Amino acid sequence: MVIDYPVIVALMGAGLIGATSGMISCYAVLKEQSLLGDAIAHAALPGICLAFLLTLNKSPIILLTGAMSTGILGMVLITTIIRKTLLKEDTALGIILSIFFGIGTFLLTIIQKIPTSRQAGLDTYLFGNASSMLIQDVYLIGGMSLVIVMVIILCWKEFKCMIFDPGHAQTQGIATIKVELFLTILTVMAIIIGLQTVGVILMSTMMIAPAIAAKQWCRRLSTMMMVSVIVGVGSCLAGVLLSSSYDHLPSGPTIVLVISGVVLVSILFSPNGTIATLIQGYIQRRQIKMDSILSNLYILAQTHKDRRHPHNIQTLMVLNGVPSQKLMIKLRDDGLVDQHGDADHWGLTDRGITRAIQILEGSSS
Amino acid sequence: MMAIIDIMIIGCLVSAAAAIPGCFLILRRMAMMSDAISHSVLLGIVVMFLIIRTLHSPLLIVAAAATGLMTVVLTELLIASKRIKRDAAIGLIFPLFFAIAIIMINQFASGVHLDQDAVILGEIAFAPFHRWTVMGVDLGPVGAWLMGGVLVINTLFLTLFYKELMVSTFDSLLATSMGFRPRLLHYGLMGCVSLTCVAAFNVVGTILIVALIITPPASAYLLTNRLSTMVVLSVGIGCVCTVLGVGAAVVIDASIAGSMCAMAGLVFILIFLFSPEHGLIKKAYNQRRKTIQFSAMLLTIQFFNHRHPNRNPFEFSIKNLTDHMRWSESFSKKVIGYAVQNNFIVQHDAATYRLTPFGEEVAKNAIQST
Repeated sequence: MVIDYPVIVALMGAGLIGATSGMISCYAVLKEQSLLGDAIAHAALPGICLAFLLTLNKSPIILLTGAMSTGILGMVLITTIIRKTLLKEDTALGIILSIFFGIGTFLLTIIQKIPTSRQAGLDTYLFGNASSMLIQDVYLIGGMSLVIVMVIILCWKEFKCMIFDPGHAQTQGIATIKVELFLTILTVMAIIIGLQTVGVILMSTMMIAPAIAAKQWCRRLSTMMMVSVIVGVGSCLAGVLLSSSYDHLPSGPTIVLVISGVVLVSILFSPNGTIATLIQGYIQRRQIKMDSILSNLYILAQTHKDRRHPHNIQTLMVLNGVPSQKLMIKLRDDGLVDQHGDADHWGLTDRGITRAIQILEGSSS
Repeated sequence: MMAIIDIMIIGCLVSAAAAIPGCFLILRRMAMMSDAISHSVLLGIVVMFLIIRTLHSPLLIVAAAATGLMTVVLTELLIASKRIKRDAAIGLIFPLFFAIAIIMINQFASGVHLDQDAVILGEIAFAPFHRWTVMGVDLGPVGAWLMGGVLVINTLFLTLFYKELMVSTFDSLLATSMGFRPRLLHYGLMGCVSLTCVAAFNVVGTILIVALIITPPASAYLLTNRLSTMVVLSVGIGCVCTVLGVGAAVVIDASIAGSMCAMAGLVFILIFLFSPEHGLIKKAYNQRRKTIQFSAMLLTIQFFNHRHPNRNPFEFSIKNLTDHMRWSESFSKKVIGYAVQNNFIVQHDAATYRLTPFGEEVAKNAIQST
């Protein structure tokens, strides 16, 4: 692997994008607007094309301004459709996404016909290519990231309140409409600067994955955002490094693969994750089985003089499904039951009797 | 010219086939699922292409439809893990599939027709030239046959399961208690969406099919409250958008798919503004009308409260309304006009009005009901 100048530039840009999407994705996911990233990224395309058509200039500032304006327009239209019609959020997102993008492709074909223009630069916005990034792009991305970080720090309290309890925010005298607008603009900014690296379609992942991964590990917004930034930056750097070390490995999809992997691992292996839940369930089910074996032995022995009176394991099967040999051995190792005579006869020990009484009293009370 | 008509026919078949499952997606709040499916079918096509090395085999469609369904299943698995909300699950799975597909194209199949632009934009412009000939007889464009087939399948699904779909869409619990198996219907519907996306993928690309699945039914939703009317209307709207879109694209010589999208958007905006029942303008008008109705009622109460014999004429003048009720002069005139027209008040002299017996009733009722 060769880390030369273009790779370093790409790493810087991708790292910044990972950081900003890490932050903004937390808000998007917590507000349950995960798919907004997808819609806004698509809605940016006609803006990029229009900006180019109007100025015939491919400088990132102009293209990003165009992208910002249609991105915000898309966002406004989505809100209008949701508020003014009976149509639901998913439909509004879908309409804006597909129509704006369709208009974008329409404009792209018009641009292709302008003899002087090469469309090549605009294509990167569709699929994303970090290696085409220039140092000027990194400055621009850096500047916008700085703005995003500053606003998040300044409005930390307001954003937090807005996201978890908008009604409460309003009673606290927070200008909810303004704060909402700020957050919208920040979201659009974060999406727009990511377009060049991961592209329109894959931007959806960047607006969801870091926050989802982080959410599995922490419960506080501040720690969640930090973890999310680490996930975002780490995956973007890893993606760019991988794509620069192998041929025919575009950066955008590689980043998506890496970050999806992180999400999968987080969902499976976090303290409350799927595997932990499965193990917990298994332990609980086993405990219940063992408890019922003990209490059944106790109840059966009540008809005899000796409360430790042994019973055939077949009797237990009738009462209690299948008490496996393994469970019985575990109980014996814990000193709760004993084998009498042949291997099939089991009776409670004194400790087992105490435990059984505890279980029965616990369940009857 | 023949080519343009062929394109229009194929486009209409696509939009009719797309609108049918689209109606149910919208009503079930799963519109974005079409976006997810339409992107992830690419993976199925790429994988199957790498295995059989040809782009003209029905196996491609099977594989692609299967990946579409797989997206749905995986998304539901993620949701069932309870670690992720529905929208986030949708937004995670399909970019992953798409990313894998793009990497596979770049690694193993670069330079094949499966290039990325064709995927996104489609190439309906070439569809008429890809014809189906049997023993030398030209049977028309393959795309038309394909989309026609999908339309037939979707229509069959709709007509066979219409009442089951309707009940499970509007009241899933009721459907379960009636023994309809909503989950099976759900996967059937998703299968239709998947099939439509795959078939349309070659013709119109991933994004336009989303536009055609969501936008015409959304427009129809704003026009009617009946499911059956909505389905018929959305098919009609889809076809109108197609014809207009293709026409516009031919005139300005631009992307046909893009132009169809733009037309669908335009039609949606027009209906959004002018729909006779749910339109923005009608709503604003109703709002305004209600304001005036309510204000006229307030006016009767105001007159009623000042009705003693030696009445102060000022209380009954327009000037009073602007001063005491803080209404603008033009608004006061509108309210008075409405009140006179409805026989709440009559002109008393040049500058003042008085209540009619009917107006007195109105005021009394209003006061009592509060």
